[in-house]
Amino acid sequence: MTDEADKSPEGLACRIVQDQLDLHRRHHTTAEHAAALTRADEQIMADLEAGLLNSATSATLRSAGVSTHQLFQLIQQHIVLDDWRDGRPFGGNHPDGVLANVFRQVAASWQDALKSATDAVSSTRQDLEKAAAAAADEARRLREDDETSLPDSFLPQDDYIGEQLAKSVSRGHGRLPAPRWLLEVDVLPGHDTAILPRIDFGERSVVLVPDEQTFSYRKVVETVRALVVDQMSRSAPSQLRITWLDPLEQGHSAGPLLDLIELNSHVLDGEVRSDPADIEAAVRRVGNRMTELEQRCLRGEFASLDAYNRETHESPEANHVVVVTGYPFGFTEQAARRLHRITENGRRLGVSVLVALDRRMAALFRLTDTAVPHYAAMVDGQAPGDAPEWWTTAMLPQGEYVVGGPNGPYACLFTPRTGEGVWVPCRFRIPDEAAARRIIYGYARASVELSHGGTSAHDLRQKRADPARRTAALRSAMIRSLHTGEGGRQVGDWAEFLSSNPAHLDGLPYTEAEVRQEAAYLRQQGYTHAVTEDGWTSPKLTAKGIDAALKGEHTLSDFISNSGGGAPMGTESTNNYFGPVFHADATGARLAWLNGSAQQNQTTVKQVQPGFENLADVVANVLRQLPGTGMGADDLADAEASASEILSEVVEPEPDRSRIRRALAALKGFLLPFAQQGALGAGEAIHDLAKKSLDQLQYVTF
Amino acid sequence: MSLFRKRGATNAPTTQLALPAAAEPPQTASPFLNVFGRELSEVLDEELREQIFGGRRDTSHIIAADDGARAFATLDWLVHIWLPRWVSLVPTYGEVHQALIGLPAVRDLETAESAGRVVGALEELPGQAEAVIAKYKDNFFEEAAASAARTAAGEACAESAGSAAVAAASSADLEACMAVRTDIALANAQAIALLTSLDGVVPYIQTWTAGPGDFDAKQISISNLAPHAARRTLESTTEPLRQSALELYKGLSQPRTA
Repeated sequence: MTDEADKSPEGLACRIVQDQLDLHRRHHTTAEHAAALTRADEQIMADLEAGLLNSATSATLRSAGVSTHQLFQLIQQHIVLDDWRDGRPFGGNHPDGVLANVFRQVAASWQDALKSATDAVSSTRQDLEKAAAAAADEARRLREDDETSLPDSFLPQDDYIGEQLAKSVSRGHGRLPAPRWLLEVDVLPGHDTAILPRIDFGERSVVLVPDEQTFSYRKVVETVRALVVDQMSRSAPSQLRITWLDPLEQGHSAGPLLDLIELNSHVLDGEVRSDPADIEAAVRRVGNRMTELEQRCLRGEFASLDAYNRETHESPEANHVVVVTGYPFGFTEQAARRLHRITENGRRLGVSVLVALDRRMAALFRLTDTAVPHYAAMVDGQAPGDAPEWWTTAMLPQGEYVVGGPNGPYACLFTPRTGEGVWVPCRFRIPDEAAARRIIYGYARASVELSHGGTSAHDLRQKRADPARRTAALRSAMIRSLHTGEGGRQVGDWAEFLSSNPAHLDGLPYTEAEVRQEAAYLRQQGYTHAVTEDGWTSPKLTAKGIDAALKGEHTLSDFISNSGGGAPMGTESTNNYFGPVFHADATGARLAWLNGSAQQNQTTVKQVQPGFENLADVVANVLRQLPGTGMGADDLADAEASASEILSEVVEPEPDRSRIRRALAALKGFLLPFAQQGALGAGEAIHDLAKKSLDQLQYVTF
Repeated sequence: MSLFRKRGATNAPTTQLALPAAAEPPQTASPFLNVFGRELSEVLDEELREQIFGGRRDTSHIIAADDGARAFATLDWLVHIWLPRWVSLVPTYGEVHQALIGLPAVRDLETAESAGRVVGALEELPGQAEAVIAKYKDNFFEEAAASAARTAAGEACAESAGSAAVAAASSADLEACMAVRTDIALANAQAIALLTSLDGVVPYIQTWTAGPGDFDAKQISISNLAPHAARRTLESTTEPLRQSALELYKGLSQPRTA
């Protein structure tokens, strides 16, 4: 290994290409030189034997490294003596004496130089073969070396392993990005070990350009599917969302991925889009999600989505793949511009675009020969004949291009030293259909947290944290569960529901305590019968419960109006805590601030870490007072989000102080204008409230 | 000037005068100047020879060590003055003409090689000229035109002092001459002279052919007059260049200023 870059397959591939290019060029130059000398040999020898000298002969001798100094000196003397004219001895005679000897010496030197030049060709050829063998050996070692070889999980998979990989990441350390096996470059013909993978972490956009002969549109589409399935195979649950746009084939290009519509349509943004208006809307949604990620997650604090996801202790944001087949046909100009912007900015935000260019656009790209027969160079092609009228080459999506060429697809590698783009044959791993389906099914089943459309995990957290929504959704789900599951079969207890698919809200599973509480509620309100008083064992719907199932009661209001008031007495679950506790439901934060025990109705609770109690208390107070400050709705939501962030952090096993400081600063920033409004004549009560909150935050220690 | 005017003889004496021996170029410590003078004297008439070489001149300041610089100065003249003048006779070679004029001064081997690349661009010209003249072969008149043009062109490089300049430069720095490709420069000039003189002599021959008289008389007169007509076509090029070369020679014979 020569340097750090060589320890990655792509780095090694680039270095091998640079070496091959250098060596082939040197060999080519050497061979050309030898060929030129060989071609000139007959004429040179004839001239030298005849005692002739012209500029062509002189240039050839000089290029061969033959010294002509003595000959020139001698001829100059003959010119002075008027014995040499027009490049030959005066009168056209053959040279004699000393001059003839020197001509013979030059001829002998010429023959030596010719032999050296011919030998050099063999030598550079051997260098080429040795370098190729050495490079192949390096590639083999890269595969086998314990320190540099890729983990098995990086290799193409035949099953979904994302869930397993996610579990292997230790809790509290955020998410590691899932690798994607993009392609393999064949950098050395005839050396199987020198087929090196190009791997990314789902951040690169790729544009595949079909070719009439070796890389048909059908293969291009198959390749795009394979890339998506590969990324899916290692994606943590709910960490990959797909937008598939197929204006030409109404979704046919998605192949087995269409199963996602039935399995988990959230993964596929509902469905494959093929109508121009739908495509434009879908691209706009992707753009909006990027804006949301930028403003709500990265917020100028994180360089990329990966950095954010590594740091965040909450739900990470999903990577997003936008697949476009048959581009640019079926696109409006507006959609094409938006797509172009996505390819410009998506990399940082975990959004990659995979484009299967329409075959009619292939003329834009043309590959030509290079010094290395195996590689190619890109030259300008022709404008496509029947492109959409708005089309210009500026609309080409940004990304890494893979172009069909004489030997199949070619990918571009950039040489590390000279920065040249060299097109190298590449190939793709296409999983068989059974493997693809296993991966798709595995991911779809595991990805229960994905929401429809562009909702980010951030928004999802807000929704999930709403206790009213959560309680109502749980009751509704429990009733539905009994209604659909009864069919003559007696349900043993609610444990079955807990382990079932509906036992979650937007991906956040309900706890047993929550289910126990609502089981008791449903029994107490007459929705269910049960063997036990807590409603847990052998629950069965009453007529009221069946009505509720049929009516589709799903809001808290529905339940309240049907229950005749608040929660029934005697149904609260009682939990004893020692020390301060804080409910994870941050928006409506309820702090158990007791040294002895606390009685609460809620059960999803976490312990505030020692040393952060004061902070938790102060922030919870401020959070309660926020609505009274008269903030606008947006500011209020953001201020509450900052407070919630602090309260979420203080219950973590190891609270992140820097994150708390940042959220605290943001919270103070929201309060400051209201605290200063007294001077501007604003209401005194508001001013006092904000000032008090600000003071509390100002002096809190942790 | 009429072709039939006796050369320089409006009031020529009718009797031979005993003239003093023609002036010879001075022998100096510079082989370069000696060769240049020798070659020039071959193409000068006695009057000019006397003018250039006559009388006693002090050559004590001339040293051989300056010959290298003289060679480069001569090559620079060849590339920037002499060859462009010839090339300007071919309208389609405007770009080459500009390229020659635009070349940096020839002062070392590197700039000599740069010049040689431009000069070498005309390498095909002699072959093309030969292909043109090869077509003049089907009858006496055409052959006479071709023969006259060939003779005039053969003398053009010498008459315009190009050969003298190249010989002088070669005597001091043959390598630099090879780099400039002086042999190609001379061959190109000769090719251009061939085509130019052919263009010049053909109308005369056509006029003579169309005139009165029998074939034999025309044949004799054409054989005699065509070479003069061909040479005369080139005089407007060779004479100024020869004059320029004499200026160069005189300049190079002067003491060098720092």
